[in-house]
Formats: sequence, C-alpha cells, structure tokens
Amino acid sequence: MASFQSDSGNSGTSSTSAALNPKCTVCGQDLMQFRTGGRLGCPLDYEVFGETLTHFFETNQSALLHVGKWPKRGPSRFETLRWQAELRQAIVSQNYELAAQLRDRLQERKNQRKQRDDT
Amino acid sequence: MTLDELPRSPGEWLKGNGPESDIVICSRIRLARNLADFPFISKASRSEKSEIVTQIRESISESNSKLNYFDVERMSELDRQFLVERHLISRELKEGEGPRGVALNDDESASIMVNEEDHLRVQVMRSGFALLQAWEQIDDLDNRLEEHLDIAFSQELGYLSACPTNVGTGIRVGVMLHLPALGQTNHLDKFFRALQKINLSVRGLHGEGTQPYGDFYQISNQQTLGKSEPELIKSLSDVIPQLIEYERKARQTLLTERRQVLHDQVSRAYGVLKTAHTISSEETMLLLSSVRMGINLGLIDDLEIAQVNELFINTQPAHLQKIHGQTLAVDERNVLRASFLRKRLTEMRDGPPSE
Repeated sequence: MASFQSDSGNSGTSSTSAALNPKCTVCGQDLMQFRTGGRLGCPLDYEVFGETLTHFFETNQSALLHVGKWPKRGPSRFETLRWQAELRQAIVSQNYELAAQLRDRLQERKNQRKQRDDT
Repeated sequence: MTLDELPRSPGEWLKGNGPESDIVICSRIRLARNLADFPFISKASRSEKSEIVTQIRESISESNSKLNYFDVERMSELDRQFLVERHLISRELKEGEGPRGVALNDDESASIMVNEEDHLRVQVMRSGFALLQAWEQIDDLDNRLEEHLDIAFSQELGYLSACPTNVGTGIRVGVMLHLPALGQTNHLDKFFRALQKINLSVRGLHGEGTQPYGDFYQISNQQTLGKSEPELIKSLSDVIPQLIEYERKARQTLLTERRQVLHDQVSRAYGVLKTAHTISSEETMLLLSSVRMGINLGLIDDLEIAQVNELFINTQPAHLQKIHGQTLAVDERNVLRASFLRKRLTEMRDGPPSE
C-alpha cells in the first residue's frame, strides 16, 4: 500500500494542533488517522487534507488533474454531507432554529431524489 | 440464479477461450465508485451502509443491468470463499463487516461489489486478452448505474475514492498471465522490474498482497490520475504482446534444448494428478500449471485447456465442498480432491461412464 507518512518525520506534540493535524468537520477524520490507516473518511477529506494529498499525487501519480470520463450527473457539491454535519453541530450548540432549517433542507433533498427516481 | 448453480460452469475468466488464451488467462477491469451523499466505508454507520445497499440495488434494477444481488453479510463462510475462488468478490469483502453484497450477471463476466473499500466496485472479466471488449462492457454498465446514482466526483480530481491511490478514473486494468516457461528462466525478475518502472504492478493470482503461485501473474496499472481510461488501457495493452512473445520464445527454447526434461516434468505432473490418493490444493495448482503448459506445447494430447481450467477451479477448497455438498476438514478435502481428479481425468479421457 502507498505510504502517506509525513516527509518531515518530526511528529512531536505540536503536530496535534489544528494547523498540523487538520480534521474534517463532516466525518471527523484527522490527518493522523489518515496517515496511519491510509483511507479517507469522506469525499470532503480531499479538501481538508489537500496539501498532503497534492504532494502524494505529484509523487505517485505524476499528475494533479483528472483526465477521463465524467458521470452523467456531473461534479458533486456534497450538500447532503455538509448539511448533515451542520445539523449535528447545530444540535450540539442548541441552535434549534438552524437545526430545524437544516432538517427540512435534508428532507426536501431526499424527496427530490425520490421523485427523480420514480419518474 | 442461485450460488449453487454456479459450479456447473467454470465462470467467464476460466473459459479458456479468447485471444492469446494459451498465455493470457483473462482480462479484468474494475472501477471504484462512491455515492456523494455518504461518508466512505470506514466512517459509515450500519444504517448508512444499509441505505447505500438499498440505493445501489435500486439503481441496478432501474438500469436494467440483468444482475442478481447476493447478500454477503448473511452468506455462509463457505459461499463467501466460493465467490473469492471464482474471483467474483475480494477477500476484503469476504472478511468485511456490516451490510454488503455482490451483484452478478448470468455468465459471471460482470460483478458489482457493494460496500467493499468503496461503495461500488464494478468489475468485468473476459477470457483471454480482451481488454477493449472488457472496457466497452464495463463503461456501458457504469453509465447505466450512474444515470440513477449521485456519484462522488470532483471536477479537478475526478472520481473520489476511499484510498487516494484510486482517485481520478478509479480504474484498475489487469491481465492474468500464465508464464511457466519464463518462470524457469532467470529473466522474469528483469521483466517485472521493467514493468514497475513504467508504473505497472505485478501481483499473484488473487491480486493485492498475494504471492505469485503456479506461474500465474496479474499485471495491472498503478496510475489512475492524469490519464484517460483508454490511455491507461493502452499502456497495458502495449506491453502484454511483448510478454506473450517472450513466453512463446521461452517455451520453444525449452522444447528445443530441454525437450526430454520438459516432457518428463509435464508427464510426471499429469501422472500424479491421475493417480494421487491425497493432494493439497497448492500441489494441484502447481501440477495443473505444468499440465497446462504441456497441452499448449503439444506434449499432452488427450486433454484440453478448458478441461484443465475446470479442474483448476473445481479443486479449490470451497468449490470441492460445494460440489460434494458437505463441509470437510483439510485432510478429508485432500483425499476427496485426489479422488475427484482421478475420476474426472478418466472421464475426460474416456468420455463419461455409460448409464
């Protein structure tokens, strides 16, 4: 398996700081976990760990951009994943008004999907 | 279709036909895909994995892909191993946790693993050297599924996968080769090192992390980003004919320079398979590998490649137990395997016994 270990080698206590160990607010995965396990937690980790991954792609894939087929529905915006994370955060911070809005948005998205599949 | 019906045929990849099938066992392409609305498998809850299964099963049925779905979570250990031996699921899916499964078409040329490392692992296998046909089939299947699914895709990075080594096209293009003559020379390592330099990897029969066995090798691409699917297929297609040529030359050299030794080796292998009373699956595979080469070189004339392939798959542990309808310990399997080989090789030579 490819190695995602840091090249800097020094993983002292400061590496637990947010700057050195970024964490995805959507899936909860942090860079250390990714480097240990080699797997990402959700599609948004590609943004969160962008710097590490760019270095990896340059070294191992000799490329940074996709060339090839696209899915019919085009690129994803990952709204469902983002709203679900915001909903969890709103509940934790007891912002129930925002939580209700997000819940409605997610439900609406679910209905749209179902309608599209039924037609 | 039920799993119990499968052992009657050897499966698409072992049919023994297709271009260059004396050396190329099969061509395989897989695509890694994930749904945009869910975390990757390592962070997905049980209910999310269930919902992923539901959405993918719906898309399979709506896309009219003619695939039958099997629930791997609820499947017996024997059936899971059986599907691994047929290369229809990976060891990772077999040993995974939670809701997961596989959808197969009737001729076993296409399979879709659900909730393996990625939400979807679409695979097509064709007998012989047939990468372009495999690509056409998998591209069509992928297009049909994507009409009904929101796939995780970024404009810059392409298809987003759980492991960044698959990002971009998500494609793994591979051919399984039988290289018994090159295996007897000292040149194989040199070839493989050259392949690694052009970003191709060499693995054993069951893919990642497995050792080459019985002179069977899988060669596949490592790069997935920055080149289109046809370009990646071409990079493999361009080198395989050279390897085929080297193997053919090595076979002819062996025939010319060491004919007696080779004939002896092949005949002994055939002899042991016809007469043994207990035999492991590893020894069976090594001996069948010799017999396969013997047929291709005209040293054995009363057996066909398709028949060797049938023996090759049906003597694997789970196949042997499924065919005989019982779970057996290793020692018992070795006795049964030897008895099965003696019986089938007699039938293949003399025709089936009259009623």
